[in-house]
Amino acid sequence: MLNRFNNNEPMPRMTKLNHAQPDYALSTTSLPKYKVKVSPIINEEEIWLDFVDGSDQALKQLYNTYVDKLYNYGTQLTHDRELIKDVVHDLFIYLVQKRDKIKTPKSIKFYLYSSFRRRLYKTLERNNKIAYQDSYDRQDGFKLKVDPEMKSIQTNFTTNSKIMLENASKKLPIKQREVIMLHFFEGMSIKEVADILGYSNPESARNLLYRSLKGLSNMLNKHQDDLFVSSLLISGELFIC
Amino acid sequence: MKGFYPNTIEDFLKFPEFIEWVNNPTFESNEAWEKWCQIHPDKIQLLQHAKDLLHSMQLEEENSMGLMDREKLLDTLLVENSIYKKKRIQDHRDRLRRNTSYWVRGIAASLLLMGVLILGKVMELHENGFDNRKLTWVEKEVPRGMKKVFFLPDGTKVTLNAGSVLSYASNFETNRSVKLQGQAYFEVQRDEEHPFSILSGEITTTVLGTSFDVKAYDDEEELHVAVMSGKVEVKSKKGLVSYLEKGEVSYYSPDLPAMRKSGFDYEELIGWKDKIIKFNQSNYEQVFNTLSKWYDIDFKVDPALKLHGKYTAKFVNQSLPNVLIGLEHSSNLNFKIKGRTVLVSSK
Repeated sequence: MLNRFNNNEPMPRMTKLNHAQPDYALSTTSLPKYKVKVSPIINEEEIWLDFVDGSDQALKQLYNTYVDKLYNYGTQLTHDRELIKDVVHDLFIYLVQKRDKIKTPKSIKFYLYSSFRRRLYKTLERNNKIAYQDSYDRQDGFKLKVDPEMKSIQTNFTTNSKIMLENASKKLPIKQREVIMLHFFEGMSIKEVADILGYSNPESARNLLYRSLKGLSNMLNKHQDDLFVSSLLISGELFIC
Repeated sequence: MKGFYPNTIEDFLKFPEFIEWVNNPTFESNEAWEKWCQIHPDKIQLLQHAKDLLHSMQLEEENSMGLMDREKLLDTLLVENSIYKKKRIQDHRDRLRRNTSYWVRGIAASLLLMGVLILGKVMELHENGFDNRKLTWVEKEVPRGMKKVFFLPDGTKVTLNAGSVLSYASNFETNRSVKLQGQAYFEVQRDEEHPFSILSGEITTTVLGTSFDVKAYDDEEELHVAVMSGKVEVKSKKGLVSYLEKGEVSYYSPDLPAMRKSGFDYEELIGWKDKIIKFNQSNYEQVFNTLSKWYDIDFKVDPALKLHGKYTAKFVNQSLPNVLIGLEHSSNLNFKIKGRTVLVSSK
């Protein structure tokens, strides 16, 4: 048996059949929802306390979770890799030696990112690489791309919208790109982003975020149009044997 | 999520709760967003697109420190750590010494003994973990509703299906071994000196250079290894072994445990790579399971409903509503999409 359906009107067919709603409270299937990330750090506070207690395991866990992230963050801010290595080194040594004097951080990630950036900037200033806290040693860091490996089944990224995103991100000021990385990719809250960048007012960080989205909005709108068109075009054959 | 009425992808990206959810989903936030979808069914597509966009955006450059430097620093830190531990015990002893009372000393002695015992335990753990310490793991993860194609360091091409995780250790070049949870299609680079092996649940698949599909989801009863070219060895932990050649598949059920070998239909087992969903005499559980990973949705079945019968169908690059219409036509079921959940009842 071969059936073809008009793809423009699948929904009415679906709703037509909706009658009295049964009770789903006891339903049995349902897999775990949108998979909850099993992050390497299950309970941050516990890990920190173990770490303060001297546990090798907790130390390794902290180190392995963050060393590459911090290093990568550094490479977006300056080209001087040796200097980044030194700062990562000093930061971890400081943590290990002074851990019983440090107040348990609310978020270890935020604590590490902000201390790391502060230390890196101090060193850059000392080496006369940057003039003041608001400048960047490297101007072309934090560039974005659409991961060519990711293939969403529901969203088709046209080559066009990929190129638009990459070009638009190059045009954004570097500080806005840094905000995108910290907020979108690392999941820092606006307030944390403001703290990391050294703003006393979180609104400044929010403004930066909004401005960067405005810079990307052409791309986003184009992307949205593409999606609209492609969802109309979805066709193909439907076989039911 | 009061006062949140998004009209564009941008609106989603401006909403902190959304960013928080995508980056760090919890059971609570999953529930909250599912509810939100039920109230705003017209926004689901937009939400999906915003989520996909965030998932697929990344930094153009991702730099890491290099294995040697990483290990060197970790060694330094571990040395510092043992100094710190000694100092802590010393401090503890000093504090106790200041106490003159005799019985306090007694307690101190026993505490110290305990401390030494615990330290011994920690050292032992350290030694056991020695081999692991030198290895770091690279993990590739694909959420439900997505697929991923990438190359391993030896040039092997991997297509990873929805809801799967593949990981390999930093010594991959000398030890071509990966762990798989979920489903993937491998096109293995030939290297006779370094066999390529895949650990998935209870079975290990070993090859020299071939193309084949491995399916081993935690939440499914049956695993399979299906070979497209070359020869493959499949071994279970309990000692069952099967040798496969082109066009052969081995099914393994850990519960029985039993391994059975047969021929297979390409589209049914490997079609997922080419956006083909094909069911051949599948029961409804299997159908719902496959679709929920494919479209990132969940099925809720009316508890009064008895699901029986087998289902056979093929869909090529179809949207979820179309697939459900197909299912409705050849069954006595009724589907209703509600947010990210599909409600199943009888007609």
